Amino acid sequence: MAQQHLKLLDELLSHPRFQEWAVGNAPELDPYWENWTRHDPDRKEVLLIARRIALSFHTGVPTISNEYVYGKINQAISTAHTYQEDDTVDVKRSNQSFIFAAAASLL
Amino acid sequence: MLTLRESFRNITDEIIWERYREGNEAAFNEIFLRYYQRILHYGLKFWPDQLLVEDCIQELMIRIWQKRNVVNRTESVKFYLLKTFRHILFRKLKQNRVFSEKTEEDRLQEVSVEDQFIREETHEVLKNKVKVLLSQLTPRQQEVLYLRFYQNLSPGEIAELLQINTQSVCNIIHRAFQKIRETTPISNHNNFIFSIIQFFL
Repeated sequence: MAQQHLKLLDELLSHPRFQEWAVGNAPELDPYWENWTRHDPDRKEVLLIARRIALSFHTGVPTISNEYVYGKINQAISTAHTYQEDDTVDVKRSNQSFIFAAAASLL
Repeated sequence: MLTLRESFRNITDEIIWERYREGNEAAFNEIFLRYYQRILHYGLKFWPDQLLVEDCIQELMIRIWQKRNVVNRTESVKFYLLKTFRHILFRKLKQNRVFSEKTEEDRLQEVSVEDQFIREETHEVLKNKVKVLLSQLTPRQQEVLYLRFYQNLSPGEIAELLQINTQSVCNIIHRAFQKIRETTPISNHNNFIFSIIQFFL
């Protein structure tokens, strides 16, 4: 593949509208791409490679619902607060120890 | 909850990040509603154990929420999340002795995504197709292509994430493209592309 083809491949894969079309989310762009490759076999080949690569990355995306993610987020916040409370208790304990030690040294 | 999301419509990640830094829980929610799935997808490319990967995302979220008052501004929330997540995942895999004492580079050579895929894949034909792919792209090439063209990170961001220089990232992409095309005979081209698709399924 020639240098200019690699550059074209990079440009296509970096283009958000191309990515949308490549994974099937923008069928209205079909005529645009058909026109873009018309009478140009090199472009056609690069477009084919780019589309398949884009598609290959897109597939395998796990399907999870917003509700599921909300659940995970709430769990994380709740755990973070628990850690924070534990830290506060530890600090209080350590302060108490310091006060006791200070009081003992005054006795 | 979903109505609350409407208030973030058309608001950039970076502005939402600023609200999160002020302790806004809804902004924190929005960040992960936008990126949870992407991070999970990235993690599964490293290690096909959803439970372990989601544990790491959980740790990421806890850490991010805990740091809300001290964390800096960021120019790319996505990059910050992927970088922090990658660090957590690698540490976890090391703890689990998946990486043992080996360097990350060793790991990329030996415990690649394809290895995992092949280990779990029973279909003989598909196995062979992925083996063809294995001989074409290195794990690092795959990761770089994935980060560049699926996660849309810039070469500079990928360089920082992988701790290599930007020129190396560009070279890796260039070489991967060349391999994809040049080492595959034209007549087998569609078969080869098919194996790439199968690999990422």
